[in-house]
Parts: sequence; C-alpha cells; structure tokens
Amino acid sequence: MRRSRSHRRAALLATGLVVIGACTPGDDDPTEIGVEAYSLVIAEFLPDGAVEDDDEKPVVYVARLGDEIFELDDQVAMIDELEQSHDLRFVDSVDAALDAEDEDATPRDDGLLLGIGTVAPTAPHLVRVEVYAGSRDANAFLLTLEPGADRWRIETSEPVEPEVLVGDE
Amino acid sequence: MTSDAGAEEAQVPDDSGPVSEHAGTRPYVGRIRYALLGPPHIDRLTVTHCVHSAAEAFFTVSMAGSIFFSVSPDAARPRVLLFLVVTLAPFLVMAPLVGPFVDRVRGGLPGVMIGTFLARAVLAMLLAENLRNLLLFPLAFGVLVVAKTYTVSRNALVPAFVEDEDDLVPANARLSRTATLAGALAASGAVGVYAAFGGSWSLRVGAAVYVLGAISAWRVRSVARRLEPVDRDAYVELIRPDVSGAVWDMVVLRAAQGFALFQFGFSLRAEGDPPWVLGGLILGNGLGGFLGTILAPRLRERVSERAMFTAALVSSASMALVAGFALTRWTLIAAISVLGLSVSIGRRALDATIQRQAPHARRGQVYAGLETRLELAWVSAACLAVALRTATWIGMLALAAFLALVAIVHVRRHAGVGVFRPMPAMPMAERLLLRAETLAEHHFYDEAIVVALAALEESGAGDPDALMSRDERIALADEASHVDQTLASAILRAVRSQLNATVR
Repeated sequence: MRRSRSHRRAALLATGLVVIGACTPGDDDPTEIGVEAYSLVIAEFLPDGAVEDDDEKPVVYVARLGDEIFELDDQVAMIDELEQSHDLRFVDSVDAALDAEDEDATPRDDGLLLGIGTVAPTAPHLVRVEVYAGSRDANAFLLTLEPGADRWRIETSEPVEPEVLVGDE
Repeated sequence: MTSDAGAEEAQVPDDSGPVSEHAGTRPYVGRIRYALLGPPHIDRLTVTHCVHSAAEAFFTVSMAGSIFFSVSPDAARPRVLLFLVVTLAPFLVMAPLVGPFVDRVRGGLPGVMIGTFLARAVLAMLLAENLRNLLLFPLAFGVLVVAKTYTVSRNALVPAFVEDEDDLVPANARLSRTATLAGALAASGAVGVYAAFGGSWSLRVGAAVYVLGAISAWRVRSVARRLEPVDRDAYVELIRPDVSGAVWDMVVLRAAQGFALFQFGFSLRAEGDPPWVLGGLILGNGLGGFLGTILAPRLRERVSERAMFTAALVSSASMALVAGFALTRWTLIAAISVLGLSVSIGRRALDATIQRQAPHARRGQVYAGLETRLELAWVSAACLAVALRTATWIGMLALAAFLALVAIVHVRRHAGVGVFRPMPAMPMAERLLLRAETLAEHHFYDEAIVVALAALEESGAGDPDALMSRDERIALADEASHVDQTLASAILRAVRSQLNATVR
C-alpha cells in the first residue's frame, strides 16, 4: 500500500512537471515580430537627422529583402515615428529608389537605401540589413535582436558580405 | 427666372460665337469679360466653375505632401482600391435618385453644388490635420466623390442657362476653357503656398476657396430657372442610334481617362520615375482638355459630331499605340495629352449630338443621369487599373488595345458593318419594341403598350388583338384610359417572346 502511494505521487509529480514544461515558452516557440522591431532596425542605420524645423530632412528609402512587404499601417507608423528628423520613403523594389540616370546608381534625392530582411520569429532573432548609398558604397549587417520586458533591443551587429542589390555582379 | 433676370434676358446678346456683334460695341474690358464668362446669368455659373477649378488645384497640389508618396505603391493599392469601390456606391445610389430630386426641388442643382462646396471645405480642413496618417485615404476619396457630384450637377445645370439649342456647345466649351485658365493660375499660387508653408496650409487655403465657391453657387441659385419636367420624349430620344452611340463613345473615353490616371499614377511610382513625370501627365491632360475646348467648336463647323468622335477615338488610339511600342516619358505624356484632347472633343460632340437629336433630353433629370454614367465609367476603370498591378508599358499597351478596338467598332458601326460580319440594320419591329421597353422603364405604361403592340403588328409575329382589343388600344393612345405596371409588363413580355420566337 505504501509503495503504491509513493508510485502515485511520483507519477503525479512527473505529470505536473510535464504540464508546467509544456506551458512555459521555450526557445522554439515563435515570437510575434511587430513594427517596433523593424523600427529599431531602421533607426540603427539612419544618417544624422534634421535638428531644426528648417533643416532639410535626409531621405531614407526602405525596401524589404525577399517577397514580403511592410503592411500599410506599419509603414505609416514608422514614418510617423521618424517624421521630425527623417524623410522615410518605402519602396516595393530597389530600382524604385535609384536614380536611373546616375552611372553610380545612387539613391534619388541624395538619399540612403536600406534593404531590410525578415526578423526570424524564433530565437536567435536574426535579421539581415543591406545599407546602400551607391555602387561603391554598400554594406551589410546581420543583427541579432532580443525581446526585452517592454521593448526590443539589438544584441549584436555583425558586418557581413553585402549582396548585390543593384545591377549584376 | 426672376423678373429682373427677365429684363436682363431681353438684352442678352447672341451666344453663338466667342464674341458676338453686340459684344463688339462694348468696352475692351467688357469684351474680354464676355469672352471669358459669357452673357449674364451663365457668367455666374462660369465664375462658380472657375472657383471650383481653383480650389481643386489647391487640393491637388497639397496631395504632393501627403503620406501617399511616402508609402510603397503595393502597400497602398488595397486601400486605394477599397475606397475607389466605396466611391462607386454613391454614384450607383445617386443615379436613380438625383433626377427626381433635381426636378422636384426648386434650385435643386444649384443646391447640390452649394452642398458640394461646403462638404469639400470641411473635408479639406480635416485633411489638413491628417495629411500624414491613414485618415488621408477616406478623406481624400471623400473629396473625390463630392467633386464628381459637383461635376454631375454643374453639367446638368448648363442647359438651364441656354435658350437656343445651338448655344449648348459653345457655352460648355467656354466654361471648360475659362475654368482651365483659372485652375492653372490657382495652381501656380498653390505651389507657392505649398513650397512656403507645406501641404496643410495649401489645404486650408483651398478650404477657404471652397467656401467662396459656395457663395458663388448661391448666386447661381438665384438666377437658375426651374428645369422643365421630363416627358417621355426625353427617354425615347436617348435610345436613338446616334445618341446612344455618342453616349457609348463618351463612356469609353471617360473610362480610358480614369484607367490612365490610376494606372500610371501607381506604375510610375513603383518603377521609380521622378515626380515630374506624373506632374507632366496631369499637366498634359489639362492642356489637352483646354486645347479641345478651342478646337471642338471649330471642328463642329466643318464636320459632323460622329466625325468628331471618330477623330477623337482614332487619334487617342493611335498615340497610345505609338507610346505602347515606343515608350518613353515623352511619348507617355504625349499619349495622355492626346487622350485629354480627345475627351474634350468627345464632350463637345456629345453635347452637340444631344442638343440636335435629343433636345428634350437636355433636362436636368436626364442630363444628370447621363453625367452619372460617365462618372461611373471613370471610377470603374480606375478600380480596374488599381486592381491589375501592371507595369507602365503593359498598361499603355492595354489602353492602346482598348481604344483601338473601340475605334474600329465605331468606324465599322457607322460604315454599316459589324466587327466580324456585316451588321444588318435593326428591324423596325425590334426598334419599336426597344422604344416600348424604354418607355415602360420610365413608367410611361400607356405609351409603352401602344408602341409594343405596334411592334407586334409590324413584325407579323402575332395578333395584337389577342393581347388587347383595338378599342382599348385607341383609348390608351387617346389617354382615355390607363393601365398599370403589371399589365404593361405582361404585354411587353408577351410581345418580346413572340418577336424572339420569330427570330429563332
């Protein structure tokens, strides 16, 4: 009788541990990636912005790497967040941001072009960013994001070999 | 017309030309005023339309500072399509309602115009505070819907200001010409305000101009005569082949214009073309329209209205084909300019056709219905352009193919042949039955039955006495008796069935 009670307790305890373990978010559970994460990524590579109202705001073009697009609401939110200091413009393709008549294929209006990848939904939350200012001024970075208690933060930023955003290799 | 208006009317000179003999005795300033604004009473409508154009110029320029040009075209497309579809709804609702409202309410059309100015003033003020957020879309499309309502009411009101049937074309041409000049002048001012103070302030100035427009429209209300009630002749005239053909050709041109504006507005942005190209399209369309107001009256003196439509369709199709196969920014602008010119010439040709072949249709209710169909075509084609998501060159080729097909059908129709086979003239019985069905649609049941039974007799497909005795038919024709919708529908169905059986 005593042995069967201890067996039952052990079984209950094991079951409880399994249930608790299943309810606890693990490293493989996907995290919702909101506009805040992408705003953080974009802000990391912005040039110096306008300080006074009369200053001309630097133009920054943002394109998605891959087939996804930013939803309209998210684009408006990001534009609004940076409205005071930067002129943020979203484009569907890299070509839409470039000055076609410039041999160096620089972004229009003396701007900067950022190509933003998709933030991985599970840890580590990696995201690739291409920073393009001309055919001779292109860089790429691999960022690791970490969700904090109330906001995302950038854990690491590692330079990587840039992909060819414009033209042929 | 008011009594003092009647006194003025007695002194109104002939309006058959830009400057009449009577105007020749006026001082120089008076002659220019007359050339720009026209004779008394219609000059108030001209001024009102100029104020509308000026206000619209401020609105359009302000949009350059909107968030629409900061978001990606693909992200904006669903929202634009949604609001374009929503824009369709008022026109679908308006079409059957605006006519009775216009006819029953004294000063109905000017009242609608006043309402559109006030509504746009409010919307412009709201837009000024929401130029850089998502409320831009519903507010901007609200302005679009209200502006089109103004266009419908303004076009329907013009016949109320012309006495002679020959005056409609030059009156409309002058309205458009002077308003285009006013809009161009206002646009330069709007650009200055925008450059100095931004889009929000140019919208606020536009709101003030809209209020001025409401005041000007109020002055129109005091001189607009009550529109004559519509009788069956108006609807019967509209189904005459030349009239219905002209309406169809104009619907096509308006659809092409709506398609082009939204197709290239999106594709140029998506392909990274600089903003001046889109500005060039808008300017070219406006210049083409202005040129049309000058050319059209002169064309009408030399060729028929049908030939004017032929010229409009063939020229717009030809230039679109050139641009489609040799697409550059300049050929694109040229194609849109020619399209604007064609729409303007087509408009004058439609006015001339109606005033000559459908004079009873120059009434507010019927004219408003026509105008609504044209605006529906514009919006529907715009929806298609937004939904398709094609490159500029594909859009231009599609536009060229559409215009070319319509031009071919137009030419062959008037040459008496169909597109793929010879097209025989419509049998008299079918034409009579078509007229009867049109009469019934507009609740003229007595006349509908008389004409339908005449169609049956003409065709020899059946015995009219089997459906209604001769004495009863005579009583209907003499208006000694009346029938209801149920009987009329039953008889029309029976006649249609017997005619169709004969054809098979």
